[in-house]
Amino acid sequence: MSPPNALDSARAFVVDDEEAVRESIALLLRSVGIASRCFADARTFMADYHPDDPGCLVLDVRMPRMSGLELQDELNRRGWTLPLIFITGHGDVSMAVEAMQAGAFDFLQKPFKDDDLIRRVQKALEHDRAQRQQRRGLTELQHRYDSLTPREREIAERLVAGESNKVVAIDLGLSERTIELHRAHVMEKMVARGLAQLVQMILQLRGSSRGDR
Amino acid sequence: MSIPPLAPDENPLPAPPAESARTNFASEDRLSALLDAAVDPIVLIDSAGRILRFSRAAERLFGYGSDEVLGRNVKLLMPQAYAQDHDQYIHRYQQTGTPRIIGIGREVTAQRKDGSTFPIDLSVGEFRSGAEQGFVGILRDISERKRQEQELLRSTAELRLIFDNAPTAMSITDIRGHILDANHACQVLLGYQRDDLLQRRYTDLTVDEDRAALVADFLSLNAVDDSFSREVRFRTPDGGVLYALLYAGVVCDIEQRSLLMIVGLIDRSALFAATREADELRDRLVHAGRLGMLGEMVSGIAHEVNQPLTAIANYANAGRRLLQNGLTDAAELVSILDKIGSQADRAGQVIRSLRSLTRKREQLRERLDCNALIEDVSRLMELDLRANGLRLQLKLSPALPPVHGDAVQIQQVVLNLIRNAAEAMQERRGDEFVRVTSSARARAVVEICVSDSGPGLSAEVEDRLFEPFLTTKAEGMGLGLSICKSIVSAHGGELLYRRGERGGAEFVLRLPTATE
Repeated sequence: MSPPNALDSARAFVVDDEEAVRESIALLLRSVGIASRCFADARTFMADYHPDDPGCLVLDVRMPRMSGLELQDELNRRGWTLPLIFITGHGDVSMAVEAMQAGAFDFLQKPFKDDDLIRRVQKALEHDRAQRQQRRGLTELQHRYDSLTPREREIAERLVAGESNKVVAIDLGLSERTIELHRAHVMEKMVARGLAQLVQMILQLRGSSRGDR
Repeated sequence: MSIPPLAPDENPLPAPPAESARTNFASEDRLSALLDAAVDPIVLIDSAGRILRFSRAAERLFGYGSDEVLGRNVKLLMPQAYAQDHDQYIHRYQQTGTPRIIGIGREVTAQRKDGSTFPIDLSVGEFRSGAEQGFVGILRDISERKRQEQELLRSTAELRLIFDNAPTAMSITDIRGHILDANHACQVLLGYQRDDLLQRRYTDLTVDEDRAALVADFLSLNAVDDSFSREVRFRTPDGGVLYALLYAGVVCDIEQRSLLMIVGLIDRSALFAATREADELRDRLVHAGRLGMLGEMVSGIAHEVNQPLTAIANYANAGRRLLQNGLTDAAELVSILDKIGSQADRAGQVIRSLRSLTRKREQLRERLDCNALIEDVSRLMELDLRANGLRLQLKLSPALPPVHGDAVQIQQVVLNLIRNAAEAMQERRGDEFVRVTSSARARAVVEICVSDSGPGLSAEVEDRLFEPFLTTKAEGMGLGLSICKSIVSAHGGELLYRRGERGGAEFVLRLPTATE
């Protein structure tokens, strides 16, 4: 059980057409210090939610108008990576399988044990937090990288590729001294404590940009 | 028939010798040439019946030479049976002067020298030449024609035989539809004797509703090869209705003069019976749907019950945790408890509405034959079971007193028990069966037993068998047996479980017999 964290604005978004069900889930989550917001249907949620809002989604599979699965599709389409916990009713196992295949975080069958729900919501929130942290780190790195001059970027890439100051200096027709100066700037701007860390950062940036493609 | 009187005469002369008879003809040579040139055999006799001339063709036909027959009585050329009367024929003609054959011609039987007989066409003329008087017979061998005639008769008889004995109802009518002939199958199908059918029209025999259309059909036929077919209902003499397909086609009669119709009938009773059976089957399926509704209802209410149950559990757990974590106060707890109460009410409401569904029909009480009910249900279930490799055995006591109750409800119970049994045997070991028996018990009780060859029930399940929401099935709600039990109780009966002789499950349904 993670303690309530005032700085953490993460919440569980509970979407269920049944008022008593969503309200009781919210109450159950509150009892362990998890904030939540309730929505009676998927559309209301979509209209209200902003992708920067951290948290997780607790979602009934079977709802009028827009089903849980349709909401999942819509989130995937928009690239919003909110972890989804599906709640399925009697005999909806096939739907649950479908939801898991489409990337749902987890699912629960009604009626469920309170511990099961709480544990899953906590895991989902942690997952979301980690995901966002990672994304935030990447964004920061990208900012740093973007602050490099073209010359500094080139030198950084060559260093990451394993070339020595000397080789880089000869290739670029610069003095080794100038290269050392650029290198110091790169390390400063990227906040890297050594070459090893710089390599890691650049690789991380490449990995994320590859993922975006 | 015999060779007819060849030579009647008032006063028959003594038979002249053949030699002298011949010489009496003036143009002997010319006559001989004429007779011998004739293709048809010619025989001349005198008024006493003696042969005067015997042509070459006659010699060839009979196998006699002229020498052998001249002067002898013409009876020689006839079989014995006819020959004996021949003299009389001649005599009668001479007495009465009334010709029986002269100038008329007739088919008779002739006999060759070797004794064999053959049919001939005989024409006889009378001649007088001075004192000479006699008869001339011109013969034609008609063996071939006779053979052809026989053949024709035989094939006609054969056709007739086929027509009469054909398994298909066939008839011939004139162009206006009057029946001219109807074969045996047709008579049997329509239920009329042949004579009753002749000259009647098919349009007279139909039920009133079908008449107009058939009349129009017949009127539409007016040329060779025109045809139609129509489903028609006929009124039979015994007051029944015959379903038939009538087809008619126009043909020309043998003489190519008038148009006839060949009208055939195909018995459609079997088809209509099958249609009726299909209708009944559909009714049964509707009935099955009604029975199956219980199962559907149960899974349908699953969702309805699930929602409040989920909410109740959440509220209760949340309340406990909030209290434990010091995050709530008495006022909030009270409101949470209120919510639990109202959700429990809601769940109760669902169950109550379900109960009232089964209670609503309690007024319906009629005398029921349990065997018929069981057979009904087994027909519904049989295919299902067979598809799953299970046999459904019925052992129904023939002498079963009626019970008092609601047929659909009792069937629902039996159907549920059979379905449970079938589902208990999903894991097959071999020759699995579900057995339903009925028997009359002492103290006015009818007992229906549904047993299976499955694994039976565990002691734990057995104890709580009829409690609502107890289920061993992944998809089950656990309401089936508790509803069954309440139905049976409402009928004043009881529903029991016992372990079958071979270890399978056995459910016993006891119902009181109907009292007058």
